[in-house]
Amino acid sequence: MLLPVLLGVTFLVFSIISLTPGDVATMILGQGATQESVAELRTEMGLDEPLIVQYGKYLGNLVRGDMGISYATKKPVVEEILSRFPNTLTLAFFSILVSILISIPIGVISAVKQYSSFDNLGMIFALIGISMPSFWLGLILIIVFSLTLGWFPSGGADQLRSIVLPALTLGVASTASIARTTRSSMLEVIRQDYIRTAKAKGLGNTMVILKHALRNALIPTLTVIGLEFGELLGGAILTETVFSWPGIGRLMVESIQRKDTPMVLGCIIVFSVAFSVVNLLIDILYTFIDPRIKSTY
Amino acid sequence: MKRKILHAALILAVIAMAMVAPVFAGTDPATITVALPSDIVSLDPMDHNDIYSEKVSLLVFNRLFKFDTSFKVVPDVVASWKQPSAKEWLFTIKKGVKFHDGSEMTSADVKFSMDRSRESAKVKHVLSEVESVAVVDKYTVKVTTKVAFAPFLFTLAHAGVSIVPQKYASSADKWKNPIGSGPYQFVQWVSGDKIVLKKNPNYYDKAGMAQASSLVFKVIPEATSRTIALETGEVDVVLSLDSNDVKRATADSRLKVYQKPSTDIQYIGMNAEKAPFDNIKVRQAFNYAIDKDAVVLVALNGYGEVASSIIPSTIFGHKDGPYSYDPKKAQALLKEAKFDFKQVIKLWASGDTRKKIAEVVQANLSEIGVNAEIEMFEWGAYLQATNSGTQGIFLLGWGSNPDPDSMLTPLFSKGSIGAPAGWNWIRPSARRSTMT
Repeated sequence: MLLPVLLGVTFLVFSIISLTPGDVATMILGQGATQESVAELRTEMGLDEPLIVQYGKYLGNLVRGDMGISYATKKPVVEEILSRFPNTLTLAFFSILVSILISIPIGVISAVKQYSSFDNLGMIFALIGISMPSFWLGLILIIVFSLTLGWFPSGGADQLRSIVLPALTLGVASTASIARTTRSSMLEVIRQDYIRTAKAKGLGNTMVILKHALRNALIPTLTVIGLEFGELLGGAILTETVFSWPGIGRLMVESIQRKDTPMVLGCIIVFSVAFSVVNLLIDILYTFIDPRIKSTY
Repeated sequence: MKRKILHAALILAVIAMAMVAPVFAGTDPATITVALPSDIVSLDPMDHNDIYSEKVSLLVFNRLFKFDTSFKVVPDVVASWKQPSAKEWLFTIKKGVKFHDGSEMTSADVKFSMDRSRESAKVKHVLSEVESVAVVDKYTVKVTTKVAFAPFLFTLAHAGVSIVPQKYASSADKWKNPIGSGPYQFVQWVSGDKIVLKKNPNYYDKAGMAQASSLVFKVIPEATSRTIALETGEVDVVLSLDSNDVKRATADSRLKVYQKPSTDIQYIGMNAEKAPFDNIKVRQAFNYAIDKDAVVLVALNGYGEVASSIIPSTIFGHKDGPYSYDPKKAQALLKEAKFDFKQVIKLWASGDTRKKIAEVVQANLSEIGVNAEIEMFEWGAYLQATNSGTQGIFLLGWGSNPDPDSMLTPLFSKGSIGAPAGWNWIRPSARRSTMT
């Protein structure tokens, strides 16, 4: 399934970049470039060839594991992506961790205490989380925790502490969907007969919620977590920019601005593969959470 | 692309801001951290033409000449030079200049570097006047120019004419660990994050020895984040402070803001080959219609000065232009030119600052009854569009070294038709005074 996706995505992106206005050779040479030097560079870079030929050559190299050389920096695309992707992966992991730690308790308690003040406040918090622009929240966090309190660095990826603020910024944004999904899923589960049976058997409320209800309510939540994590792996351009985080999102946007086709395609391929792998892992996780799914295979 | 040279006039005198405002915070003298708005492109001095990569190259490599702190060109590794004829130059480099790998710099490295520079797509324009470079002896090279070229020494201070060791440049390292001879040695480049340099203890010029033991260029793309990093002490220097933050930084007693007019200008170009700008009166009218003081105030928060000429006031050859803000005169000129007030003028721009400039210009034009519509472009598309010949009125900028030639030849020579100025105008007298 991954191969057709990659083929489709790369062709689409290749075509879009090639069809958008602006010439990569002109951009590389800058404002002072003459028509002659631009034409010379275009020939040298193989940009004179028909689009389909260029794409064919790209695919030919790709199947041999060669993602090409960046138009802008002349560095191998693989090398550049490998230097950035671990940062993106780390940020995505901590962001989703923040999100899980905030949203699942909110979702569970909101469901158990439906229509209570906590429920209302929890859902309002989730709504605010998804509504706040990440660059705004990021700047506010920097002003409070870096500038005023001096607890965390305002940017970069040099120290372990550097990840706290960007992870919090991204984590809060994912809170809403996870919390709401957990809440609605929990609401459905706690009305099931087996929950009533568990309670009738004399089990404590906490035990019933955590062991019987939550586990069964986690399937939809896990799907949303997987989707959110997959998206985070594609990079978070605004957060990465505000916190000067050297991730793949910034690399991709900078490459789009430079019309650096090989680099954009490299980022897209990594993003597509990462997204697919995360989905696969989530599918596998289902079987651990719900043995009934495993038994169907 | 049209190559016709039109005998008409125009430059909308422009706005020039170009206030470089480096800000310094308290520092750890061992390490100086400098915030860069964008990552560098390459560590190969002949493979970049952006200002941030140049910052690094200027520290890692030497050149024959350099600019001192007064922006005057002075010898760098050159011990002496002679000009036997108008087109011939003999440069003798200092003995004992060592590259970071310990090898000595010789005339072979100088010739190799200049030839390499002349072949590089990105910087070959710097030495476009050079006909040939020849080794005379171990420390002397002879450079022959195509024409008698007075500003030649200025071009030799350009980062793109850095002297690289022939042995390293021909190696398989591909500029991952560049070797130069400059006051700082390369340590590390973490893509999108930082560039680390360390002091060169064997630097040839003891008086010009690096003061800090290491120098870190930190990539911080967001302007507010750069200022905050300065305030928190995470960086010591911000090279291009956002004009919105200058007031705040000035008020902070821990910071020192340095402001100097630069040699960069922002100009409004009008294509003299395209109606209605093929009429000199229209171009003059537009020039009178624009309140350049307002542009500086709105687009640059007042941190800039009006460029009354295409040659910045900071360099030799500047002369105030004749255009003051006079909307009545502008209107009269348009009427004389039988300007069609019903037409919509497309005003092209790219980037945030130029968008703000365009908005002021649009308002000014509206005051004299001209209906202008702003069209914004992404930078790549903009470069192509302003070089296409279809442009009407548009905003661009240019910078110069201390010699006005670097402003005049690229913008007013025959070779400039189309790119980079885009206004397709040249006057015979201007053509005579430039090199091509």
